[in-house]
Amino acid sequence: MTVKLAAEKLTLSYDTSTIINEIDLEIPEGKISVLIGSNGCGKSTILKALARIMPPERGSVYLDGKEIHKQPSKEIAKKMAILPQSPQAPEGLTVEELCYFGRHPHKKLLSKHTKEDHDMVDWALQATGMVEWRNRTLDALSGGQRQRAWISMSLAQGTDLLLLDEPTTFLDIAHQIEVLELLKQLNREHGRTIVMILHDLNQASQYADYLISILDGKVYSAGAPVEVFTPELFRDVFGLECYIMKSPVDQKPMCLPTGLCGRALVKTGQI
Amino acid sequence: MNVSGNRFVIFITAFILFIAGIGLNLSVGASHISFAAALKSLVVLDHSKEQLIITTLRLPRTLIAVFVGANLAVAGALMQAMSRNPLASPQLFGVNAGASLAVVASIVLFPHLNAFSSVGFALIGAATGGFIVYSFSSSGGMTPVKLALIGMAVHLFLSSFTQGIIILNESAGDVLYWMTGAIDGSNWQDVSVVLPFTIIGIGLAVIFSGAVSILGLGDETAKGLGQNTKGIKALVSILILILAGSSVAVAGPIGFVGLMVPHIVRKLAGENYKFVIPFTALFGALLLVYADVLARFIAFPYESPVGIVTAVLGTPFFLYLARKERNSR
Amino acid sequence: MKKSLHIKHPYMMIIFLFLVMIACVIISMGYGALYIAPGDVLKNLFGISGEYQFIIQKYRLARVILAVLAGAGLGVSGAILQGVIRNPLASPDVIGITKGASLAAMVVILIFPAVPLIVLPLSAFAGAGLVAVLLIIFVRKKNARPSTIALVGIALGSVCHAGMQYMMVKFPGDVNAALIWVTGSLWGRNWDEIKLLAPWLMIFLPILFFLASKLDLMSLGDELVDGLGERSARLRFILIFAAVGLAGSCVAVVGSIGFIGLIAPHIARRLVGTKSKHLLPASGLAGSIILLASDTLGRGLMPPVEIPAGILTAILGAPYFLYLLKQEARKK
Repeated sequence: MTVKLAAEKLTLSYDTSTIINEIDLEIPEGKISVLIGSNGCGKSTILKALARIMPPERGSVYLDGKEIHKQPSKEIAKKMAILPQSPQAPEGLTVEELCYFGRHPHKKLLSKHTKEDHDMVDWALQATGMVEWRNRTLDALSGGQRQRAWISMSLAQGTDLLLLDEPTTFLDIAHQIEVLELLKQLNREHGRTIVMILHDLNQASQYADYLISILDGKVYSAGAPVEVFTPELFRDVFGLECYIMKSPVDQKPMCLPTGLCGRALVKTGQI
Repeated sequence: MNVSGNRFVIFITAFILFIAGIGLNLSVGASHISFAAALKSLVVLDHSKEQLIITTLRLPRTLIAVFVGANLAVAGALMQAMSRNPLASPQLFGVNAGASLAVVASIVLFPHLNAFSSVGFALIGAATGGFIVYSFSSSGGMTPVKLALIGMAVHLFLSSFTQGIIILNESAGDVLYWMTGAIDGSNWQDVSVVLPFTIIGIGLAVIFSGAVSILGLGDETAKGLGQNTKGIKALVSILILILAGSSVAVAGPIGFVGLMVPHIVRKLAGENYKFVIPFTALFGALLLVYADVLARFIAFPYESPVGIVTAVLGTPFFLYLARKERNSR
Repeated sequence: MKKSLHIKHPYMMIIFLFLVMIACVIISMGYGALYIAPGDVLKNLFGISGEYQFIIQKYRLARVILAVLAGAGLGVSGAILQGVIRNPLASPDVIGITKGASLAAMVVILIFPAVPLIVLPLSAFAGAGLVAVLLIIFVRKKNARPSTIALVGIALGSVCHAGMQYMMVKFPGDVNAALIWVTGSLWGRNWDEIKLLAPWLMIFLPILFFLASKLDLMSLGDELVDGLGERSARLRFILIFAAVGLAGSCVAVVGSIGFIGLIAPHIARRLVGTKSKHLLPASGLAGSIILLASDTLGRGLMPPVEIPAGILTAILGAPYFLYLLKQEARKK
């Protein structure tokens, strides 16, 4: 596989506590990769570091083989877009205005929007199906629509790589699928490399080409879902006894939890 | 009607009101000068008595109202964008209190200082007050209300120093008047002090308005878009300080302009700071010009501080904001 | 995270605070135009020596006792407000109650300077009460969030502030006296003021200690409170009423001294934990100590000039408060 994004001996800490200690990670190009792990394992921190939003204490991140911290931020923003968890926007902002923000990395200080900017925004709105809502304000949209509006901003950035931190966590199930299907379409039809964090493990298995599981600040396993979904994974990383089966719909692996074990039992005081 | 058409209409209306306000400001007063005569003396040099009154007494005062109103409003808009807090304003965030303390201290300690040096003190004071509050704005779990309460605490802290100085110095009368925010008695020197800061401050704010909009999306998104958030925040902070500091140095701490005007403008003109900044400047100037006219009627024919009028207008507005805050969660 | 030893023995801490307060009382009585050593103070109090009886009895004893009472009232008031509003930044000064009292007092001082002395504290109390009533009207709906109370309080405080500025401009009578009152000081206070304040404390403090356990419940959030069988709206009303009563009566006799209601509960919380039955007495004692210390410094720094206590509480209080906040933010 071609490596799009890689972390080498990355060490990340908040204040005085080290969250991630010398982790090595690779993200394949042109695929949908999903980071999974239990709460507090550091997935969000890793994603922020990959997106260069969070500076590492030690180690480096390579995008297309070049270290990102040695390049100007705006250059990186033309190659990599990030959608953080629970993004905030001022109330009265319209979908279209938000989308134009995505063109920021391409603009000089006082310049007006170019034809390319207009075209990119139009394309992004079309790709996310938000054209008819382009003049609505964000607070008048449903959760799924709002998330699609943010994705259209990331798309307008015109990057090959898209990172999303828990894009579906606060949405109801229909909107979750709406967003995930859009991301799949962006990958299959428009060739975007997608990296995201998902909580629902079966959703992760269904949509990911490449799964990376994180345990105690290190990569536990990485590969196609059918390789990664093992009983050992669920025991060690999530503390679950799981029955693993193939989905009758698309043969992808599914997990059915049958009980607690290991660390989860210790946590709930049953051991 | 599309948004930009809307904006155009609003701008023209505001501008017309603004010119009318200037005319009113120049004509209303202890010695009455007609509206027409006032506007005429601005343009035609006829050495009449009216023109003398206008050029020496009223025009500087009107100009101060225009510049200070614009400065404070833009400072408030920048603060609200940067801290993503709808309650941010120079008065609630300790900036005004810090500047006042510095100016009062400088008047007491160095009574023969000229107006330019006052601004220097005011800037240092504004920086101190604002910095203290700002250093909390990125702390974990900070909500707009918590930040407002911290701002209040800093304000109380700094004003008690100011009160102490006033009491121990027994120079109560004049200083207290100024502390309410007064622009009567302004002269051309005051105008020349404020003008460069207005031009630089508002000018840079307009140039960087795109960056300010992006700040409003949150640190992470802004960084993700390639913005140098640290640098932009530093620049915006400096703009806030020079706009608020120079205004306080010249007119005392006038409250509520920085709080109210940005909200009103954003409701009318949307969230794009490319438009918000210039509109805010215009509306801020407009507000203060009319408030100054109203202030003349409180104790006619004696002058009253304009800060009282802005407080009377601003408080119901603040209460309205408080209720909105309640309903939005 | 090491648990502080103090929290394990809250009652020991309260006794310790009490002793500290007594020590402060004795030391405090020594300062003024004439310095009296603590040993001599004790001798005079117990009638062993009559040397300074006059000074102590006439000027200092009452003043110091008033500091203890007013500081306690403000400290407890702050603790209650922080619990009800569920915000550690709330206090009588910040939500406009003290400003209301100041405005009323200023009206009296500037417009009616000739009225009998008793009118001043009564009007201050009325001012505080008026602001509180308005506060409650504005947040009357049952689902009024605590942060709304804080915001409305700030707004009302600003109104009063504007009103005060208007007064000072329009009625430039004895502005200096008005300003000193507003800043808060214990200058010239004696047994009359104690007689005014004591009854209120005797009414409100017992009510509050009785309600202490219910105050703990308030921190759970209205839905849980209702679910546990208490009426959250009514409980909130009673508690705010008591807090205002305490703060108003204290401010009425010593002026709007700031920060005590804000800081005393924080200090108390660090020493005895968050249970109201420990927190309230500890806040009261902490408040007394703070006010005593401020007043003593005010008298002792540059005798015979007196710096009003209100200035010192602010100068000492605010930096410490901000330091406390930074500590808490760091923990998160």
